[in-house]
Amino acid sequence: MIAAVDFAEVALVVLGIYLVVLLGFGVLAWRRGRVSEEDYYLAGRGQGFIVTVMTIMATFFSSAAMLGVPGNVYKEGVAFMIFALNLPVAGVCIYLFGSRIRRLGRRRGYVTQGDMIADYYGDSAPLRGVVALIGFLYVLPYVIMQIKAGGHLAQGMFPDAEGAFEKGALALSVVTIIYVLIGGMRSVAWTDVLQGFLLILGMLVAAAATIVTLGGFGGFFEQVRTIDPAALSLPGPSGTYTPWKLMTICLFASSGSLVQPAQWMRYYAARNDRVLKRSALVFSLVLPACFLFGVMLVALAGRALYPPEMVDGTLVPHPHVGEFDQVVVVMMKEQLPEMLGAAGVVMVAILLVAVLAASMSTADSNLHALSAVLTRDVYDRFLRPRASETERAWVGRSVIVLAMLLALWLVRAGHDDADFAPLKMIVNLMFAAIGFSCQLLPVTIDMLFLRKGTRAGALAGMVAGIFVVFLFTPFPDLLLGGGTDGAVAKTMQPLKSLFDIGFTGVVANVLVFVVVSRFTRKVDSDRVREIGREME
Amino acid sequence: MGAGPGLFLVNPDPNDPEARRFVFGIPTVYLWAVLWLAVQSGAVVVAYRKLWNESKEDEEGAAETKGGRP
Repeated sequence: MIAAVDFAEVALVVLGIYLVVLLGFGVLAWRRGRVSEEDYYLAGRGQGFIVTVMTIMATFFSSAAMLGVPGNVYKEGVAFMIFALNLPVAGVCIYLFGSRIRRLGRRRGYVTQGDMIADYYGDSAPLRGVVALIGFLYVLPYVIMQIKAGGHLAQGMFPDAEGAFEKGALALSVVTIIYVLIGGMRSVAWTDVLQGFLLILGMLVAAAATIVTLGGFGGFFEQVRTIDPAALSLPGPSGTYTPWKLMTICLFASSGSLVQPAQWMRYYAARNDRVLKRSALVFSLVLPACFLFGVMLVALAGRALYPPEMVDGTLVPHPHVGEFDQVVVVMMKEQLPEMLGAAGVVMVAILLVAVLAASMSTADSNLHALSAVLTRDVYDRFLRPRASETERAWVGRSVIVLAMLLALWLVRAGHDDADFAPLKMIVNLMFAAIGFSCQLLPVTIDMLFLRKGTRAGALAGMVAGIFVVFLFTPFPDLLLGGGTDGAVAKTMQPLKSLFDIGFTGVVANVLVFVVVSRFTRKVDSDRVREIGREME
Repeated sequence: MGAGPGLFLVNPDPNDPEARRFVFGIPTVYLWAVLWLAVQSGAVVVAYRKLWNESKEDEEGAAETKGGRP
C-alpha cells in the first residue's frame, strides 16, 4: 500500500505542474491568436499533423478510455475486449469524412456542422435547430461525465482530504474554462497534444507495469487462466455483449463519434488533406493498441486478482476494487509502488494525472464545440441575426461558462444525493449520447457521397432517429410517470440487448430519409453539382 | 467478421468444460481480437498507401515546397 501522506504530496506536486503547464499553453495560444471568430473556433484553419492527430485522439478518448472501458472489461471479461475493433473503423472515417468536409469548409467558410448541412440542403430554422440539438445531446452528458471523473480522481489521489470530490471537480472545471476562454481552438488543441501523449503513455505503461509485476507474460496469463469461464467467452457474465451487438457498436458507435461537433470542427481546422490522411493512419494503429495491449490487460488482470461477485443475481465489484470503473486506479496504486518503490509513487501520480488529462481533453473540446454550435446555429440565426463578430465571440465565451456551471451543478447535486434523478438520467444518457450523434451519419453520407436526399427527408430522418434513440433513455418513462424502469424501458429491452442503440436509430432515420426524399422537392441540381465539384 | 458473426466460430461455450478457452495459453477470444486488429491495420495501411488521394491543393503545395528547396 502507498503511504497516504507521501503519495498525497507527490500527487499534489505532479498535479500542480500539469495544471500550470496547461495554463501556460492557454496564454501562449492567446498571444498567437487573432481576434476573429474563425481563429477562435478553427485556429485559422492551419493546424498541422501532430496537433491534428493528437487533438482528434485526445477528444475521442475521454475518461471512459481509462476508467469506463477497463471497468467494463473487469466486469464482462474478454467479451468487451472485442470493443477495441471499433477504433480502426473510426480511424478510416477521419479520412473518408474529414477530407471532404475540410475541402468544402475551407472553400465556403463553414465553422459548424450546421453551416455545411444548411448550405447543402438549403437553410432552414428547423434543420439548423435539429442539427444543433443533436450536438447538444452529445456534448452535455460528455462534459458532465468528465467533471464527475475529475471529482472521483481527486478522491482517489487525496483520500484523506475533506471535500476532495468537490475540489477536484471544481479545479478541473476552472482550469479548463480558463484555457478554453483565452486561447480558443488553438489552446484546446495544444493542450490536447500534451494530454494525448500523457494518455497514450499512461495506458501502455499501466499494462507494462501490471505484466512485469505479475512475473512477465507467463505469470500474467497464468493469472488470467483463473478467470471464470463466463468471463472468457461471449456474451460475458451479464449476457450483454452478443456478437451482433458488438458488431453494430463497432460500426456505428465509432463512425457516430467521428461526426460529433468537436471532431467535425477539427476537420475544418486541418491544414490540408495530407494532415487528415496521416491522422487517420496513426489513429487506426495507435489507439487500438492502447486498448488491446494497454489498459484492457490491466483490467483483465484485475478480473483475475479481484473477481467480481454475484449478489442476488447482480454482478458487483470485489470489495477491494469498490467500483467497476476504479479497477485501473486500484491496480496502479497496488502494483507500481510495490514494484518501483518511491519512483512507483511518482509514476502512479503521473498515471492518475493521465486519467485527468483524458477527462480534460474531452471536456475542453466539447465545450468549445458547443459554444460554436449555440452561438452560430442558435444565437446568430434565431436570436440576434445581426450580431457583430465581437458580440458573437462574447456570447460564445458565455456559453462555455454557463454550460460548465450547469454541468458542475448537476454533478454536485448528484454527488450530494445518490438518487438525484436528473444526474441518474444523464449518466444513462451518456450511453445514448453517441446514439444521438449517429443520427448525423445518414445526412453526412448523403451530402458527401450520394447527394440524393432532400431537405425535408434529412430533417424527417434525423427527427425519427432522435425519437428512436430517445426511447432507449429513461426520459419517456419519467415523462409518463413510470419511474426509470417502466413500460417503455421494458418494451425496448429486447432490442437494446440485440443491437447498439445508435444503429437502431440509424435504421429508422434512413428509412424515413429515403421515403420522404422520394416525395419532396429535390435540392437544386446546380448547387449539388457545384458542391460536389468543390468537394473533389 | 471480426466483431460480428465470425466470433461464433471461436467463442467457447462457458458451460462446456471441454471448450477451448485458451490457445497457446492466451484467451481464445482475446487472440481473435488481436488477429482481427492485425487484419484491420493491414487494410488501413494498404488504403493509406494505394487508395486514399489528396486534393489538388495538397499536390500543388507539395510541388511548391519541393521547387522551393535549395
